[in-house]
Amino acid sequence: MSFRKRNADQQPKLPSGSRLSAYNGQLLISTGVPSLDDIMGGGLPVGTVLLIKEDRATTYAQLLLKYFLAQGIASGHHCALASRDEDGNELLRNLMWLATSNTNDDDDDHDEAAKSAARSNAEGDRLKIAWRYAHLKKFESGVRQAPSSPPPQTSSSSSSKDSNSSAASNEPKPYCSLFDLTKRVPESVLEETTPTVLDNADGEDDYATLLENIRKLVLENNFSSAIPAKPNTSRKVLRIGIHSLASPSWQSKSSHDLYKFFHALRGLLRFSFGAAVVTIPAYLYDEAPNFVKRVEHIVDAVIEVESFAGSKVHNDAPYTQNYHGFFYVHKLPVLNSLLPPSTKLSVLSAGGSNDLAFKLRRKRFAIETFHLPPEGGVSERRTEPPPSSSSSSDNKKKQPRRIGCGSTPGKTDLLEF
Amino acid sequence: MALCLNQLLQNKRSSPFILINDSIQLSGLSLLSEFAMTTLRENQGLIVVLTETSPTAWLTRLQHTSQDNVNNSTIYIIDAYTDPLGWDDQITMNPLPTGVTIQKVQDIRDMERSILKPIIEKITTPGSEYSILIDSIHPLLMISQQRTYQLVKALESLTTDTIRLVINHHADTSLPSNNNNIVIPTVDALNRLASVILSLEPLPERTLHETQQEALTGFTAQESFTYMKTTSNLIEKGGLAKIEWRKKSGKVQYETNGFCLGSKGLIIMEATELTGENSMEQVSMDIETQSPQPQQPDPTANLSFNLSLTDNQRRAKDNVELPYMKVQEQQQQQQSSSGVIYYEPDAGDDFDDEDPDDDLDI
Repeated sequence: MSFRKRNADQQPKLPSGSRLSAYNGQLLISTGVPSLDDIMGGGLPVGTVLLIKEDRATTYAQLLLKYFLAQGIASGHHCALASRDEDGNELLRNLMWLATSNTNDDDDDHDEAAKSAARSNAEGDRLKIAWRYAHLKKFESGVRQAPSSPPPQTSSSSSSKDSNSSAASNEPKPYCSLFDLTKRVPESVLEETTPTVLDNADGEDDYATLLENIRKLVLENNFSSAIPAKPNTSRKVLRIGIHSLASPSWQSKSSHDLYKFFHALRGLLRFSFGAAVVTIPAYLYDEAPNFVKRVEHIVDAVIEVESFAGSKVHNDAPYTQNYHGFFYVHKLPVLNSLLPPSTKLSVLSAGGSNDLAFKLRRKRFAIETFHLPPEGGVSERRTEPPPSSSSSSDNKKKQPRRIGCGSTPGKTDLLEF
Repeated sequence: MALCLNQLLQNKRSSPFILINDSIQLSGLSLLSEFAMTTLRENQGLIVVLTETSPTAWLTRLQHTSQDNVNNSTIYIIDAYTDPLGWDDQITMNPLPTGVTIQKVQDIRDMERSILKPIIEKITTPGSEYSILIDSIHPLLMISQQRTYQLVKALESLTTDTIRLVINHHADTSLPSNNNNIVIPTVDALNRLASVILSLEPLPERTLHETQQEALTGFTAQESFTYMKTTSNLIEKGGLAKIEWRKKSGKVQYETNGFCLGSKGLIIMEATELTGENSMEQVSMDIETQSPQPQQPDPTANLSFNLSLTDNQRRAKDNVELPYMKVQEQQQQQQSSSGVIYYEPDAGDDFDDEDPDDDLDI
């Protein structure tokens, strides 16, 4: 029969800022945090819903949501946000933005120079004495960020503004960008991309109105894959972020409304070029755990953030210096397969056997494998308690009263036998 | 280091929304009036919504503790206690002391208009500092949990650096829930909004003071006989406040402070002073503070041999030819020319220990 040469132009192009999974060919988009992408096996598959169970007393889950939306803006996707606890426009204005290539890739540790000096010293010794180990891989507890190409330098003159914007749109958008938490999204970028804020009128059932709004957004803006696109138009990816769903501000007639919402959202997204990230304050529902469990079964991926600051037990623990909280992966997206792809691909979670923790530095949010610090702290030495003459120098504390016989450690008792 | 509760009372650090969770064992009213007293002492405006205390009782409380400063600043009372549902016609009010205005709430069911609107009107004058106190949020919760939550959220959005909100909530009550809906417990819902959570607890019945007394002397103190014994809200004995302070930086501070009623208001103190746990903790604390000495004894100080290098010795050390240097150089030459093979032995690789050819280097 007729043989038609495969023409590169006729093949459907990938939407910008997305890539195909190396494992099973699914279309993936980045969550904005490279370590989270690694845990998910490359990225979040398009058409899935990711549920983030929020942390008490802190806003790390909201930070993850902001990373998701900021990555969407940087990759040229359309972003939509819904929130009943915070102002959506305010949230969008406070998104983080790209780091410039001048800033150091590593985070701002205090002894950065000392670290690099120590590293170079160690390098010198390694080559001389332990030279057989020189070519082994270094043990990594975190995922390195691939160095991103510097963002296009915008000149200050207004006449070249038009040419710059057209040049920027012709460049391929990055998959995962390096963000700087101290920077904010420039107003011009927000106006260009016009993210949608899905607001909800006050009604009986907030979930139904939100679902209706999302459905309208998908159908009217050509995101649905069930409706064929016109030829020669490239598809854009839709990113939906929902902040603090099922918080006390959301009204509904019955608890089934939430299940119906998630079920319908998943069905809607499966036949569209969109993905959703929803944060839910699950700790409020401790008295009714089945409620959140049912939601977890409906969505595709579930992760939980537990900050050390939120619980009295963890707040003063020694490991709070290195990490800011635990990170749990409860469920991973499994589309058209039996095992989640990250079982084989992920470096961090190592097939689900590693404990994960996250830390928030001044410019970066990173998820790493959790290692306990050395017992008793790094600098403490086990010495004998010195004789009691030094205790009299503590004038502030009252002299403790001792009851009964027997010795207390550190104080010599004359009657001790 | 200043106690947390003192810092909160004096409003030195930012704490926009303070939620007091009290119970029937220990009422938060005394702490609330302490907040009011510190506000008045610093000549800030005070807006109080009274739902479970009568205005006269409240004013008596304030005047009881401090005579002079009350008259200088303004107290604006929204009275939802006397007649919240508008049943009475006319009530003759007693003459009020100067600086106090009372706004009566006739319809508490319309809480947005009768409570929220006057508050917003009052604080629209810019630059003035206010503390908004709510005596007890319980009657509002009984009308509608959802609307009370929205009201509290609206009040919280009004808070700034100069305006703060203090709400007293009876944490041991549970409200009736709908059949279909799974309701979030109100304590958790309100805790989520607050920036500081104070949970009040009474002292345990027998503190360690008494146990020690008993052990030392062999006698237990018995209370004198009365026909009626009060078992709760023994504020003279003292109470404990468990503080969870969520700061703007993201850090959370947990602390427990004690307080008891003095002649001129509450006396704030360390929790250990009240419970008497001081003596037990002191011993362990002494040990911990003694071991990390600031000067660590230097191990290389008093040795009969030398562990450091002079420059000559260092140079000689660098020039020593290590046994495998030639092999290293060969390997480096190989590496620069061909690709590097990273070999990680798999589970399937079997190592034969007896094979003599393993380290053959041709």
